[in-house]
Amino acid sequence: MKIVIDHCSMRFRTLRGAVDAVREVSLEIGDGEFFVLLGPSGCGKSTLLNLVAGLEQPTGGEIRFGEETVAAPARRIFRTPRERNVAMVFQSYALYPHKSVFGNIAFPLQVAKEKTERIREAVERTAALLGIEDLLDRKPGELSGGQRQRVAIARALVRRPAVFLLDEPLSNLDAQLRAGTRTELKRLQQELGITTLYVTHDQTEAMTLGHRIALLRQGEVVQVGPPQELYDHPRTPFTATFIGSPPMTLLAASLERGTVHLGAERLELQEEAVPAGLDGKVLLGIRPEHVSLTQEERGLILTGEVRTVEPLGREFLLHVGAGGGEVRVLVAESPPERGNKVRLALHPGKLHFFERE
Amino acid sequence: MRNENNNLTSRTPLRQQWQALLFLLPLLLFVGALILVPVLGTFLDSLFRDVTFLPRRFIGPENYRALLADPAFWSSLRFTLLFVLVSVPLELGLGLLIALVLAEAFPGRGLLRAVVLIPWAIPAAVSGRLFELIYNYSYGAANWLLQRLHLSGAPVNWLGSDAGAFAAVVVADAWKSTPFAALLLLAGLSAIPEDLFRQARVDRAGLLRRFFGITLPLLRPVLVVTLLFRTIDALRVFDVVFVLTGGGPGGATTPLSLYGFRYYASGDFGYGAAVSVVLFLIALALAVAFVRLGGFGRELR
Amino acid sequence: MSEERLRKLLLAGGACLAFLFCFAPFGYMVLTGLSVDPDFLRPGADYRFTLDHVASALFSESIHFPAYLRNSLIVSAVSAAVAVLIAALAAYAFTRLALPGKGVILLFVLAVSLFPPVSLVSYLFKAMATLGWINTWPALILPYVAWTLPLSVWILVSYFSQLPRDLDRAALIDGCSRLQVLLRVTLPVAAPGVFSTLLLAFIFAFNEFLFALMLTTDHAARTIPVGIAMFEGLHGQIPWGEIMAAATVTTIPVVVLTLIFQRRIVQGLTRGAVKE
Repeated sequence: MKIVIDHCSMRFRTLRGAVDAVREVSLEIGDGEFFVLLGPSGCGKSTLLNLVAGLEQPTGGEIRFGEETVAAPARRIFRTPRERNVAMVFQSYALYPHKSVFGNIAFPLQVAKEKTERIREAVERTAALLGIEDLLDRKPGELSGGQRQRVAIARALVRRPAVFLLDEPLSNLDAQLRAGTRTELKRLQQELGITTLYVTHDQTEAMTLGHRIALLRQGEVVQVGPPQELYDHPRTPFTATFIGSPPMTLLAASLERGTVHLGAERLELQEEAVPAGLDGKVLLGIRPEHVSLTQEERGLILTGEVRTVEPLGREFLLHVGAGGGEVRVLVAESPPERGNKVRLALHPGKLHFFERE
Repeated sequence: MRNENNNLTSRTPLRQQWQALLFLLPLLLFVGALILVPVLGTFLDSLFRDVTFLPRRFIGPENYRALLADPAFWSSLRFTLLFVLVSVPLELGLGLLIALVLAEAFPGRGLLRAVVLIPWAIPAAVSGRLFELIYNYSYGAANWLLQRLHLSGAPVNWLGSDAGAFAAVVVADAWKSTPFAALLLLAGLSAIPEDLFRQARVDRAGLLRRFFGITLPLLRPVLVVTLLFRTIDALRVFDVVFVLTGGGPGGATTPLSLYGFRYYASGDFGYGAAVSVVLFLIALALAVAFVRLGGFGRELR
Repeated sequence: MSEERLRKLLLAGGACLAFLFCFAPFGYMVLTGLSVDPDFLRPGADYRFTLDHVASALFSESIHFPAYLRNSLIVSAVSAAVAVLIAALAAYAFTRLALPGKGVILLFVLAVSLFPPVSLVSYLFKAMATLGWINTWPALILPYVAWTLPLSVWILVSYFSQLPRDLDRAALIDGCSRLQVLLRVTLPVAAPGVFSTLLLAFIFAFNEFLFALMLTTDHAARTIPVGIAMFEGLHGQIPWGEIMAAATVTTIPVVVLTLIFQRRIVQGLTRGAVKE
């Protein structure tokens, strides 16, 4: 099911005035795509999800599922969640505490007045898909967090919805469980091929799960694209620092005809590396994995002093005071000590430039 | 749109707002038809001469004039106010004591809490009858107790004397109403964080210090709420007095509600209505005063 | 004396006094009902046990207490059930649906509970008389529903507001209408609270006096409180033994309910008063 969000806005009226949670967002999500809405808290991603679900009505714009318009306030069109055939998994799972696992999964079918036999068959099938067929008689209160989440997913999938919505479903799991469940979710979606809209604030989840990511901030879409594109070609400092962990270093600099001035240092750029259309005050961005310790004198070199060394297990993250700011560097082994003076080489092909106010 | 509760809402009035109204409709119908309309009807009645077998006639403020001229009215008003002034602090004080006891953990607390609820569970009219027996001159438990404790030489004529009847009514009402006050105060006590007391103990504050320094101040909001409820209830007291003393001896213990009721019972609905209106207005004034003084205006919003 | 001992002493003393204060009159009531003569406290009199009064209260034709009990039970049960149903609808709307001014409406409904009953009863009487409903069950049930609604709404609002909204959203997504959400999800999940509210509404209706006094005239619809209050006996001397026996027997339902469910009752009553 293709989803089109067309200039959608959502304005709340609170006692303190109007709040624009979603500002003219336009997105197109393809059939069977795993689409991630990513952003910090308050960016409007959950609101957008609720709009697609039919739990809220937009104050402007339209939402279409395939050929059908499901929400268009200007034309007084609004389809309820039931009518849209959407299913949702909540961050809190929202399982019905008074029903058994079977009852929870069966509930949407019971509301739709399906035959008992069909219900039983569908519930058992979906439970098997998620590996919870042994838990059907238990109550949610008796289950672990991971089990509850599977029940929530089962309840969502039992109806074979056209659209599958997930609101930060992994946030309440412990770190270990999270990684495993992430992989399972990805596999499940690939198997079933349902159009999926997934909300998260965790960029790792977004990168690993999504076919495409929409990064949101304060109700607006900052950048849309496949994960790698957001990683390699961020168009704003916000995108640059939000995607990728450890985050990209941004340094205030000025650009003058091919030379970057960082505090007292100067970096001479090759012609291909000079960004078009930018001059004057800029932000220079470089990812920690594209900085290396060096003894060289020539090239794009910065000197500085090591302020902090963080062991990450697989590698070490250094915070080096250089270039008028703090540069993050990833080093595979034998890190220098705190206080050491080091020389940093910046990979010429991996520099990012952004405008600076 | 969202409201303060961040609730789901839709912009089109035709959707959720109609739904909300529909859900509220039965409530509004019942309260409107069976409480609001009768109250307004009573207000209206008070402006009429409305006596059974006599034609109903508009007489404006006549009922009220008669009211203000009737010494029985003033006597009743005096009694009502005196009753409130005496019984409410008494009930709050007793209630606080009981609440303090119930707030502690001790074996048998559950039993005590259950027993404390008994006076609340028994209908006021029944407890009125019970106290009528207790205050019986010849063989009631009250006189028996006084003699046993050597507090009085001769048996006291409770229900036959003004002062005695007053005391009897106050005690009977206190028995009935203290449990509710105790429960409210207990809830208030439970809401006070334990840490405050621990800190006070560390600071070597004594029992009384802790009580007056921590307990009472933090209990203030609940105390005010309890005070409000008890005062309004005391103002409109009827059941216990009706059964226990019937307003006697000689009208000495007639609260306003009973004074008005008498007239209904004898068919004079107009005059009785006027009395009810006066009572209503007094209750309203007190409630408003409480809300203002207690600073509840903001909270309730 | 150390503070700890003083505290324990005060506690023990306070507990005893509280117990005596609350229980003694009730105990006296029960004892009198089971005593041949009500004046067993008189010097020189003995306490003699008998069940005659109880039997008379239960079975005597001329006393009608079984009828009163029946009336009380039916009127209270029906009023409580209807009131709680209406209150549940309203509480759902108050806690989950948007309506401008619903705060004012809630406040108004609560304020209504402060009216003195005597200010309503004359008009109600005339209205019921006109409808020919004096001395019937509806005459009591309708006002009782209205009268217990504010309290019920208040308590249910506080219970419902603590239920997570996500449950509603999940049910909506699963295809429920708002009413279905209330009936299939909210009420079952809030069942303990609903039960407490039912109990409280029942007890309030059971104990009500003024309306019953005014709106019923004989045993056809008269309730326990009025019955006990009016019981005069036939020969001039007040039959205390029988009155107390009848009082005990007929208030046993409420007392037992209260004792069994005291935790629920206390919870329900105090929820609204204290902000947690």
